[in-house]
Amino acid sequence: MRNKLDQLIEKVPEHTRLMVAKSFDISERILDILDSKDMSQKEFALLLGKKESEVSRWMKGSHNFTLETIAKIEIALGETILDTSYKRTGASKKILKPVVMQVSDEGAKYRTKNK
Amino acid sequence: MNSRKGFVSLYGRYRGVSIYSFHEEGKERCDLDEFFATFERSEYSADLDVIISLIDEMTRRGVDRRRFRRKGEGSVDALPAGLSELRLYCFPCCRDVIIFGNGCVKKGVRTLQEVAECKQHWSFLVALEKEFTNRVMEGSLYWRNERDGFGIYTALHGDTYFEI
Repeated sequence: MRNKLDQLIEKVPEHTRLMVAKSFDISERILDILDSKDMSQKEFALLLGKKESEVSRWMKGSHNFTLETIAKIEIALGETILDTSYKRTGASKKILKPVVMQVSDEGAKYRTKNK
Repeated sequence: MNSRKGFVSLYGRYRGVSIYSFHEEGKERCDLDEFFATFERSEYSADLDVIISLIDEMTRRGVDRRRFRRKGEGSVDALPAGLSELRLYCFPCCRDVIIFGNGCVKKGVRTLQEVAECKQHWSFLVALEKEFTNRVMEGSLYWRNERDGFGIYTALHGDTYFEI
């Protein structure tokens, strides 16, 4: 029999579910790096100038990390947390249209290049 | 605090985790369902969605002890919904078992001790965890590996009746 949790899980908006999944991934990556460096969360907090309780809250898996925070963490740990690299060939061809720029007296105008 | 009598019973079995909660005698719902019922249609419903998503992730990935902060001797902790004031109290037992209590709204920057409802739920779970751990140590409560459709899991056996 389905319990209340099962019923509620189905009602969670997709973007909330995805946000938490990504937060889990990010915090898991941080926890793994801390383990590999034999660094405690307390030491990590000190390195960032944060309270241990705040860093501990990040690790729960629901923190909405800003890019600024991630950048600071990457600098502090000397490791990449987010890897957004992708091959420009392939996927990018489907998404990005080549753009040419025309410069006139009215300023810059952009149009999609027609082949 | 008035004493509460009831069982720690299995709430749900999932691929990565077994969830348990305290079910007080004479009450319709266990503590976890009480929490859901209180906040499901409240102004905190969006925050509840985040906590539910957290539990959902645990059901797949299991319980990672590194995510829980030990305070003092116990391991009762709160699941927060990001920066939200909503809290759900729980304590992890092992990689694939977690016990949930009830939760509350911890308003402002006040400490747990200053918010009566939070203090009540927190204190109960701290006491429950202490007694639970004692019973595991003395052997009246024990874990046993069992198998079901999801594979091998850790099942709780023994004296699951508590008066806290």
